Amino acid sequence: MARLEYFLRETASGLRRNGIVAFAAMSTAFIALFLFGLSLLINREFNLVIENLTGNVEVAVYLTDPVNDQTVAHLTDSLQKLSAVGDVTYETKEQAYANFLRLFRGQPGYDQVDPKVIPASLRVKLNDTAQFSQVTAALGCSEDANGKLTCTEPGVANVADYRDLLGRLTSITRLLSLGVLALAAVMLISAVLLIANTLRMGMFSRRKEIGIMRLVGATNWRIRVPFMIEGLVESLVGAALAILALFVVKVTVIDPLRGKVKFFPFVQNTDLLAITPWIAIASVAIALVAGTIGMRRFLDV
Amino acid sequence: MSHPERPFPNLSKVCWMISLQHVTKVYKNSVVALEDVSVDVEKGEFVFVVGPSGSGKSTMIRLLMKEEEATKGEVYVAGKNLEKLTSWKVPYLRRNIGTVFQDYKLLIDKTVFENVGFALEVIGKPKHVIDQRVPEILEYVGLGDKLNSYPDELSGGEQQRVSIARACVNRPLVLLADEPTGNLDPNTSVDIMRLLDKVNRIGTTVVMATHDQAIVDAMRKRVVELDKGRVIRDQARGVYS
Repeated sequence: MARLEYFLRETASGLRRNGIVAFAAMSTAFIALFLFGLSLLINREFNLVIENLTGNVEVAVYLTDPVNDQTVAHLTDSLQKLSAVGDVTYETKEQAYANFLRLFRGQPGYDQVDPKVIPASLRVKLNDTAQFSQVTAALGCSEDANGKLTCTEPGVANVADYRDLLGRLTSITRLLSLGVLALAAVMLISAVLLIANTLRMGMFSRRKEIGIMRLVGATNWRIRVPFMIEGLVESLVGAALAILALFVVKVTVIDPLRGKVKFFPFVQNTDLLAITPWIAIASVAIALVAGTIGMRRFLDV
Repeated sequence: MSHPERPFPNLSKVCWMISLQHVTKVYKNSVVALEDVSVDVEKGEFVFVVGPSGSGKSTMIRLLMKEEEATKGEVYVAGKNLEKLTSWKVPYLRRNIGTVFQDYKLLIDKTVFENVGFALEVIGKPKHVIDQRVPEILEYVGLGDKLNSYPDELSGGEQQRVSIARACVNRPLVLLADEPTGNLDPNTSVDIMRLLDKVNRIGTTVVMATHDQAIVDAMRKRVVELDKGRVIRDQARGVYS
């Protein structure tokens, strides 16, 4: 008990004496952990978007003109049987043209497009995008040397392949989140160095005290632990502030956007909750590494 | 005292507190501070180490508390071979050694009581021990009425008394003093020497490095004289030169 009391008292007096420097370390820990948390959130956001996109992906099976109702019924039936397929809807030429107008309104020449060239299609929702080949196989489609699909099933003109696009999107988002994580890593390292430096300055300003402690036979741990706790307190306060700030960002920036963009997902409170343990772990790791670096070679007997 | 490893089997009847055997200390910049120094100090002895500046007095003190390590030869303190003492055991050695310096090394933001108590606190002694021993030792060094003063409210002599109290509060076997009267006027120095003598009389082995001739001559204790790192005289009841 006496020992615990001693450590706490020494830590408190160290923080007080070292006020401005401790504040600087806390601020850096806060910024680093905030950016770290932000990068984790951005990562989750990317994952949500990807999930959303792949979840909503439709395969368009374009039909040859003129469209025959029996062919539509037959194709719908055979596609529905596939395990990868969730839902099949028929989009008539009129609906397709209306969609076209909605998407491309305002672009030069959009009203000169002949409604007749816009094909009717079956919109196929996939449960599992990886099983896209099931669809092409059922329709008897094969890829030629140019990568163009031709299909043998009567009534089918073409199948739009989104795999390539999706693959590219995924790799771009993966790259982006890696970049954000790298930024966070740099920030974490700078937090480690700043806290290590704070501890060093603290020890420098108390070198006389430390000298006396060594003289009278205090163990290395007895000397180090208050500084370790000091670093831990600084980095934990930074972590708490970072979590608070992330919550504020979520409420003031992300929440107002929610619903403004249709079908676009945003991170939730649960996402925020899920990253807090990582921030806490990162802050403890910062303190430990900073303590090790800051006190190395400084106190050797 | 105990001799767990029996360092001097041929001298086992004598209880050496300190023994330097053919000790040479060469610093990194190849300055030879001590050269082939052999000195044995019995338990309870009072030894002056004298010599001009740079003769190696301070190096000898630093070797005895393992602040430095001997380049050659062996150093024994309180039955321990310091060369073989692992670094994590050094703090425990130092708990048996009190140290006093010319510059007192007191913490100016702590009271006299806190300064002395600090030495017990940082080696994990409980509060009730501190509350009992600190006033006791301060009474002993003649500062029983200055417990709550701060170092800058005290005279040089009083500050050195605080530092001696701090060195002795854990009842060390050995007291090492490096120029303890270096900053004090002759009368105050005499008072400090009386105190060190008193500490010695209760069984503490005292090694004091000094170049204060008057004091050495007045005390008539054992004198080890160093010159350029060599022992040129080791005399019982000696004078400065």
